[in-house]
Amino acid sequence: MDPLHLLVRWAHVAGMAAILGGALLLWWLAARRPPLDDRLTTRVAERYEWIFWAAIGLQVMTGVGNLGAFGNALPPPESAWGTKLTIKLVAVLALALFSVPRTLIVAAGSEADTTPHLSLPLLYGSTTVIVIGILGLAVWLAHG
Amino acid sequence: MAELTKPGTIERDRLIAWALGTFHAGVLLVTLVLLLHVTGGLPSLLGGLNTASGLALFAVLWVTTVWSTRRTLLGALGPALRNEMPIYQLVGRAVWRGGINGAAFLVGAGLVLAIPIVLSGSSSAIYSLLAGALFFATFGLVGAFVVGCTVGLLFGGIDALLLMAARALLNSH
Ligand code: HEM
Repeated sequence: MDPLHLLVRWAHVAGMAAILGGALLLWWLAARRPPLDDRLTTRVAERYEWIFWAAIGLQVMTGVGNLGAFGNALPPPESAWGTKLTIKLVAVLALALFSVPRTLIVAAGSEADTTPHLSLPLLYGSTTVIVIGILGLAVWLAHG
Repeated sequence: MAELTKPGTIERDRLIAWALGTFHAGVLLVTLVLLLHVTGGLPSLLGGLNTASGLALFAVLWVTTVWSTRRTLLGALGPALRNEMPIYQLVGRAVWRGGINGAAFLVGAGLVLAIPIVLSGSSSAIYSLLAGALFFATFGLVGAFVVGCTVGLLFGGIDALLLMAARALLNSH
């Protein structure tokens, strides 16, 4: 494999790990009863949202890089691979759309430095589930 | 307006601009890739662009879009994400900033694509590059501005809906 393509693929997997690991951590932090220090959850969530969007940008950039590795030999949309790619891209769009309100709520909380919003366990739980779904689709795409 | 200068609000708006700007650039590209993929036009496009240029082009779009989003949102959101300006004014800003973003991206993209040509050192290639630059600087910029305005309007509308969703969730507890 060409070294640039290898690097791009490595970054694509590393970006996935950052998104999934952070979402799991925050799900646990936000859902914990009795809560850990409230400030801690708010601060970690705020930092995670920065990292999340950096990683989403990276996934898009390196995802298209992964497509580029196929070049002219990219399988057509009606092939099994092509159908999986279509489903994966729709799922990525859904994740991005769902994540904007989550970031907005975390950002609004960081401004007031208050206790974390009650919707956070649900928001981070859903994020984790969507990302695990995309991960399943991606592994099926690459190795199925 | 006093809240707008509070450090917490500045930090908050940085995060929101980073998130929304990345959202715009990312969703735009994934949607284009998806449309090209289902219509079968993707392989020929990928065949014509090398990976390094592709990565650099998206990086340019990402940077200009986060910057434009930041300018659009300047002072737009008050405490608890309330609107600080009438919605039509904000949408007007989104359209204008979208147009500027389109033009800025075209300039950045032109520079990225010109680098390998200049490095090749072939004088005929550099002449055609200059001719291309002239075209870019006139029709290209106008076209990019108009496309940018349209995309800005579209994302302005989507953002307004997502903001409403976030406010509804914030107030639901
Ligand atoms: C949240 C976003 C995303 C996640 C978590 C994700 C995750 C992954 C993972 C884990 C792999 C498997 C890597 C391997 O086993 O070698 C992969 C492969 C791939 N991804 Fe993504 N990805 C995302 C977004 C995207 C986007 C936006 C695109 C395209 C625009 C894309 C295109 C690809 C391609 C083409 C492959 C290679 C498939 C193959 O070799 O058959 N991904 N992705």
